[in-house]
Amino acid sequence: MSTSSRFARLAGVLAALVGAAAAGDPLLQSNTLLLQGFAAQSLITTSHNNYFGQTQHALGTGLTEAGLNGVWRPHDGLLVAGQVLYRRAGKSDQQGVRLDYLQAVWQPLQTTDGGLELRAGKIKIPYGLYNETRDVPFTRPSILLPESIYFDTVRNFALAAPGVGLNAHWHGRRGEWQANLAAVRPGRLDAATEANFLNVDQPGHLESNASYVAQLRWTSPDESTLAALSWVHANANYHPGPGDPLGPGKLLFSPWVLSLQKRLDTVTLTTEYARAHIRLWNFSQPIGVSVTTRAWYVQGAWRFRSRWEGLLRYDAIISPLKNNPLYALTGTPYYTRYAKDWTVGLRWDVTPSVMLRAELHHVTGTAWLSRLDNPNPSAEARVWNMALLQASWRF
Amino acid sequence: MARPPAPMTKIRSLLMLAALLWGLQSPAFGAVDVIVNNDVPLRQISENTLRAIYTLRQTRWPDGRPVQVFVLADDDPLHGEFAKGLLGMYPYQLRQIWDQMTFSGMGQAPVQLSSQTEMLRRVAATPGAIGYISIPAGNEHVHILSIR
Repeated sequence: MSTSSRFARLAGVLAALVGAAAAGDPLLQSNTLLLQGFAAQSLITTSHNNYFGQTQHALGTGLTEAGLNGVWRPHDGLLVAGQVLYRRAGKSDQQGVRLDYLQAVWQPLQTTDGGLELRAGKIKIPYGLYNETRDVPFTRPSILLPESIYFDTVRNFALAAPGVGLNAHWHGRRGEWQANLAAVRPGRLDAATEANFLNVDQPGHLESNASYVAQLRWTSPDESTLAALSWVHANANYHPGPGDPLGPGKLLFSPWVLSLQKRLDTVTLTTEYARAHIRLWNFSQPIGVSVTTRAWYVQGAWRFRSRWEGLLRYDAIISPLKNNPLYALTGTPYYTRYAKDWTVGLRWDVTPSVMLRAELHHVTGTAWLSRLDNPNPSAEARVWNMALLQASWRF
Repeated sequence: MARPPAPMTKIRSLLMLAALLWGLQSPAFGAVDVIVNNDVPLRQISENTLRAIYTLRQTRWPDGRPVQVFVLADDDPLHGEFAKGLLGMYPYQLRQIWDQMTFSGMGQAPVQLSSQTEMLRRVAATPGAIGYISIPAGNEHVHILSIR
C-alpha cells in the first residue's frame, strides 16, 4: 500500500473517531475524545559510523518523530484509543506515516481497589519501562533510549501488533500490583528487524504468527519505587525469496527484562537487566545459531531545577559469541557483537509544551548499529562518539 | 532523682526543636483544599487514596461511580503546592505517569483547567469530580475533603 493511501485510511479512522465523539452526549463528561500530540526533530553527528542516516562527519537530520493520539470513552467501562505516528529514522525506518496502535479497552470490573481490562485491536506491547511510549520524546529519559535493551533495529517487531491482552491491577496498603498478558500476531517483519537477525536484508522475509507477552509490575504506595518483570516469546518463519541463498528457516526470540526504579526526591535512579535468547535453525544451513545476549544499564536523572534535568547512564550489551562458528563464517569483527555506551544528557523544559535536549554518547562496540545504515560491519569503528540535539513540541 | 539527659537525647531534642521551627516557617500546605462534587459520598480521604486517584490508579468512588479528575497547569504554583504538599510528588513526575498512561492508550489524563474559579465551577457541575483550590469554596454543590 502506498504511503498516501495508507495516510488516507488513517485519516478516515481518525475522522470517524472525532465524529463519533462529537455525536455523543455532551453532558456526559466521560464521553469526550481527548486528543494530544507531539513532534520532534533531532540533529545527530558521529565521529565514526552512521546512526539514523549519514552522520559521520556530517550533521544528520534523519530522526523525525510526530504523533497524534486520541483517547475516547464512548461510555463508562469502554475506552477506545489510538495513535497515528510519523517516523523517519535513517534507513532503518522509512515508513513515514503509520497507524501505531488502535485498541478497544473493555473494563468489565472496576472497583476502588482495582480492576480488570481486556484489550483488542492493534495493541501496545508492554516490555520494560519505556516500550509502550518509546516514540513519545516527553516520556523518554533521553533522546535515545538505552539501545542495548530497547533495540531500535527491532522496534517495529516489538512495539505493537494485532492481538488481544488482559490487564489486571489491584492496589492496597502495600502499593499497586499489575499483571499484563498478551497474545499477538505481528505478521511480516520489516527489513530492519530482518537485518538485525540475519545480518542483512535477505531476499526472503520473516513472518511471525504468534508471540506472547507477560509483564508483572509493582509500584509502592508513595510512588517512589517501581519494579517490573517482562517476558516475550516471539516466533517467526523465514520464507525464502527468488535466488535466495537461504532456505526456509525458523527464528525464536525470547527476551526477559527486570526493571527497577527508585525516586529519591528530585533524583530518579533506574536500572534494567535483560537476557535475550535468540535461536535460528534450518535455513538450509549445516549449523544453527543459539545465543543468549545479556544487556543492562544504570541511569541517574536529577531534576536540579524545576525545568532542568541532567542524566548520566552506562549501558552495555554483551553477546557471548566470540567463538561462535556461524559468526566466524560471516567474518564480522567481534566488536559488532557488543556495545558499551556512556551517556550524559541535559533536558530543558522551556515551557510545558516545548522541550530541548542535548546528549553525548561515548560508545565502544557497534552491536546496536543498524546494518542498513552501516552495510559493511568490517568497516565500522570500534570506538566512536555521538552528539545529539532534539527539539520537541507537544499539544 | 531524675538523671541528666544523655548527650544523644539532648541532640535529638535539639533536632526536634529545629524541625518544629522549620515546619513553622515552611509554606503552610493546609492552604490547599481538596474539593469534590456533593454527590461524592466521602467527607475525608487518606493521602494514599488521593495519590491513587491523581496517578489514575483509582478510577472509582466507593459507590462505584467514575472519578473525574481536574487539575491546574503543571507550572501553576497551586498545582505545585498540591502535588508536593499532599501527594509528595513533583508536577513533572505526575505528568510522566499521565503521559505513560494516555500515550499507551490505557487511560485519559486529568482535565486541565485554567483557574481556580473554573476549577470550583467545574467540580460543582460535574458528577464524581475532584479538584483543589485555595480560594474559599462557598459553593453549595461542592464540599471539602479532610485529609487523613
